[in-house]
Amino acid sequence: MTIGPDWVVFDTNIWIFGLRHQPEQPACTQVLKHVPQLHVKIPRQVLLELQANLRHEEMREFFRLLHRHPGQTDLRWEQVDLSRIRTYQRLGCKLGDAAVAAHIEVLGIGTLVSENRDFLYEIRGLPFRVLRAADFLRELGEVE
Amino acid sequence: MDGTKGHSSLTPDFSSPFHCRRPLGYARIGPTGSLFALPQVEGDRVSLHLDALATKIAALDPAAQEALWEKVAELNFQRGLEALVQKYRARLAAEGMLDQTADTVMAKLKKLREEIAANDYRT
Repeated sequence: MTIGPDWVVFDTNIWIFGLRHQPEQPACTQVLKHVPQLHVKIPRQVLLELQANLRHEEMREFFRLLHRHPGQTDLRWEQVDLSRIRTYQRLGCKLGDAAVAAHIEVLGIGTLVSENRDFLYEIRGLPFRVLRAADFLRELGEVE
Repeated sequence: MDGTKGHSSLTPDFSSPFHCRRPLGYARIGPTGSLFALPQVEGDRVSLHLDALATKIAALDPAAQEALWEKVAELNFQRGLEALVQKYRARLAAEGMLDQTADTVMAKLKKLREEIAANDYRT
């Protein structure tokens, strides 16, 4: 099923846990299987982190996979204005999380899927909601 | 289900009426529906199956055809994803990193995030 035209962002941990088939995070593996039914943007910070985790050939395969769904996946390589990042740092985000949060705001994304506790529980006042993978699956109507 | 494929759980169900007797993964369809890179007899057989399949698909109403293409795209994605997963996991296993706990992986990701951001947004 599709959750409407709303775009979502998967944090790096969702991609990596999903690709690893991390045993403690089965929901991340399930979430990735839904990509063709969703609209997924990948902000610069997440792309750079994926590049650092995946080998060149693995990254190429990853891009090839996403490019099969050009209308539903969107890779965003542009940097975010530093002043926006500073705003999120003032909310309590570390620089990297602030870069992700600022980019999500600029892109007008309503949902970040993440297992990052800082995003989930520590930072207040984010203009987007943060869902754990299992909760996101529940929204999609999939029972774990 | 074929347990030798590695991604058998994602294998599409081509049960009747779209059943094909052999995998079509390496069949190459030419402009007129002919097949390349297959022995003539087998190629003809696959071509017949493909023609029959195409005929059935063409007979579907547009909405059903669209749903079918979406399903095919979804299955292709899942097969590609599973291939990437297997490759990535094999590499991590070879490097002795596959057994890391989620907490360890998360801690590394957080550290990496800060390093990348500090480099990317150096002032």
